[in-house]
Amino acid sequence: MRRRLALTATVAATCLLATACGGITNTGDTATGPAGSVTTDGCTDPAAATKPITGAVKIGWTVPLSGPFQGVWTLINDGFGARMKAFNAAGGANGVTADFFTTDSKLDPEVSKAMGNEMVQKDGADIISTTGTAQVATMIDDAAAACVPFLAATSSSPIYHDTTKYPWATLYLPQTDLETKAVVKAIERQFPNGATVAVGKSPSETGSIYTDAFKKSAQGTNVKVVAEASVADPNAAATTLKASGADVLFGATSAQECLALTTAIGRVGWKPTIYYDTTCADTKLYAPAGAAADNAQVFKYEVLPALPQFAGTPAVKDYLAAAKTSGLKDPMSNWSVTGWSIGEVYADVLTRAAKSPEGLTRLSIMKAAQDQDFHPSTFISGIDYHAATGGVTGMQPFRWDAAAQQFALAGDPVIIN
Amino acid sequence: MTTTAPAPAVEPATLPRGRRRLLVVAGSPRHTVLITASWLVVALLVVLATGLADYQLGRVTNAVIIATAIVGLNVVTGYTGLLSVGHSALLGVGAYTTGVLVVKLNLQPMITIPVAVVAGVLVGAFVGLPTIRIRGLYLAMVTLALAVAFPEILQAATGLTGGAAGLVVSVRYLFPPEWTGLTRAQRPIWMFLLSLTALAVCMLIVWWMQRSRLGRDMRAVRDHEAAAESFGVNVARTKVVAFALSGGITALAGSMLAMYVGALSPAGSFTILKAIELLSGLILGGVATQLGPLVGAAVVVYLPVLLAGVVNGQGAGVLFGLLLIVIVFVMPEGIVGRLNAGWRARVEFVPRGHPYAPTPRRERA
Repeated sequence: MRRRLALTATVAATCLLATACGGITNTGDTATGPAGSVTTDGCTDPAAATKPITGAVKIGWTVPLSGPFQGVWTLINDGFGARMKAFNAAGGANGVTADFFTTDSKLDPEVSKAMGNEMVQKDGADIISTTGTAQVATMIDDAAAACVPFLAATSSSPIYHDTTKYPWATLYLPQTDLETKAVVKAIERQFPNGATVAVGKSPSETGSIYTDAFKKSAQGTNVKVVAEASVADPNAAATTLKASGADVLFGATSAQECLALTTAIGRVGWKPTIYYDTTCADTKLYAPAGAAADNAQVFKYEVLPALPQFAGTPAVKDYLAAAKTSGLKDPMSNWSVTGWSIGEVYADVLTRAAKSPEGLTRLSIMKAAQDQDFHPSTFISGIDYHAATGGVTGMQPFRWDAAAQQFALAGDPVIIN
Repeated sequence: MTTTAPAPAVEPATLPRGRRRLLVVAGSPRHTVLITASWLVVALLVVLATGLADYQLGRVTNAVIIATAIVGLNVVTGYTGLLSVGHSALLGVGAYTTGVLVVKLNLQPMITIPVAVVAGVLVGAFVGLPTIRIRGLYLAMVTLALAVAFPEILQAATGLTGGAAGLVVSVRYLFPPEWTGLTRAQRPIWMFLLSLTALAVCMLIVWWMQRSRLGRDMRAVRDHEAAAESFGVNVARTKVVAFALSGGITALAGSMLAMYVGALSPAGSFTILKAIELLSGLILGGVATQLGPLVGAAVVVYLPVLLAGVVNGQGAGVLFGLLLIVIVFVMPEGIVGRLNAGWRARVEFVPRGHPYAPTPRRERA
């Protein structure tokens, strides 16, 4: 009896506590001001958001500096750092230079959240960013509450591209669903009578998001997904997917997983038409796979400096010259180009914010970022960066030429956004 | 006529030579001073923590939440001797219960806490059912399967959990309630105090449990299952109850985690890596100790941060691994276990009326 009484008392106390908290359901007040607008309403420190930035604008990224993605992010950081050096050498934003620093997110949401807050509160970062959907999810609200711009974060999740919900953030990567629609269209062109697709899926959010988006894009078309396997064990995945007899393999994979899957399908003697997502767009992920990677296709929006089609263009010449001056270690790497391209986005935002009537502040940076619509010099001609509609506006298909050990153009740019 | 000589007065026993230690008798003024001083230190630490910068307080909050989860793990693995590597799933049950109720049903986060605990108790009891038949490595395999399957289940239940993209508990739902008198900007303090309260309640429950018949049954099952059964302990019930209690506590930690992080994803905080982190924290802190989970959580949360300041990138991970090996090698009983041993070598706690306890003056007179 006493136990029942204690239980009843506990439940009653809990309910009373909840009632004291203001009822059972949430009220709909917002933290960051009217939807879609960039304001300092709800900021924990509104004065900091409108205070002019002098001397240097601090840019803090928390990205994987350890673990399987460390190699990729070292190159991207190098590319971005080199672009910021070039930006500073050119006088910065009305004399305000960019001070770029990184911390290790370990691709862990809790670590990323802690690092994001530390970068803002301890290091005084004026702009922060991260990579990975889970990491973006944990940091995006904190950045908004602190009114610190969260710029060009690398997540392709459509959720965080919504500027009405997240006015203090912009994303760099194209939305997954737009990319998979382009892939499905390319498959339809290649197989006019219909095609069956097997999906090799990364055991990560990226893998799941790409797989789900691909399936959705294929709905109502003559492209049918007939098999799906996790590439946690690439050999097992290759065997399973081969058994489906699919015409096409879509790799919803990231970085080294792309190479591992290609190598595995070569090992089991399967030769489907291969498509990979954009996170696999680097020569280092194809060359070691040998003939198995031949004709594998991938969509890209940044130039490939080594390709003859791009090598002679003024944009690539300028990039290589500036990269050399800035001390970029591996300018031919596609990841370095990615880092440089994100740097282009930042340089444009900072320049325009500095020219705004308010001058360079966190608020003016965010306003400039929301209005951003320009052509980064390292983007393929015809493809732009438009923040309001989700970042990258198009993609161009490439295929891997195993004999030449290089990508080759496989079609015209597809405008997706 | 026989006369009986009066019995000689009984002198209190003294500690044997070579075992001279500070004698603390339960209920004595010395004991009271020690207890009071301990609580004052705890209160001082809490007050000092609330004065930390927000990002530092956030990290402390994270450690408090991990400590709560380890307290839950300690119930099954420490006190009952059932190795579980699936507690990341129980953490996820609590976190997703809160997340789903807030995001899908628009409920206040505070009201979701008891629901999360009940969900944790039910799932914990369900996970505990196999322990009736299996134990040791086989039980570890079952819980491992849970840890591996849980993120997949979350991804499959897209309509409820948001699938791979996860759930975002908007920060606007997580501000301090008005009755606390805290402002929106003081959310880190609110989260810290809420998490600390949850931890304190859990530690109190486990402290009480240890002293109850259930606690004795758990220890008996851990030390010798057959002997415990022969003495009338309902082994099956004890194991299932241990898992249920552990599930409730760990789910409470999960609910706190959902409110602290504000975003949930299957590949985020609920993978096998989190289960290993909790287990590492328990072993490093001290299995079956009251304070072990606190110390263990501090180690797993703060050590990587401190090492990242010493070595960059991959080197920090290697150094962290090496340090863990060294700690386990040097202190197999855990940090608190070793401290307890050192403490006992210097201080002797005895109950009132123990032969070593000095007789109160009034009795001697």
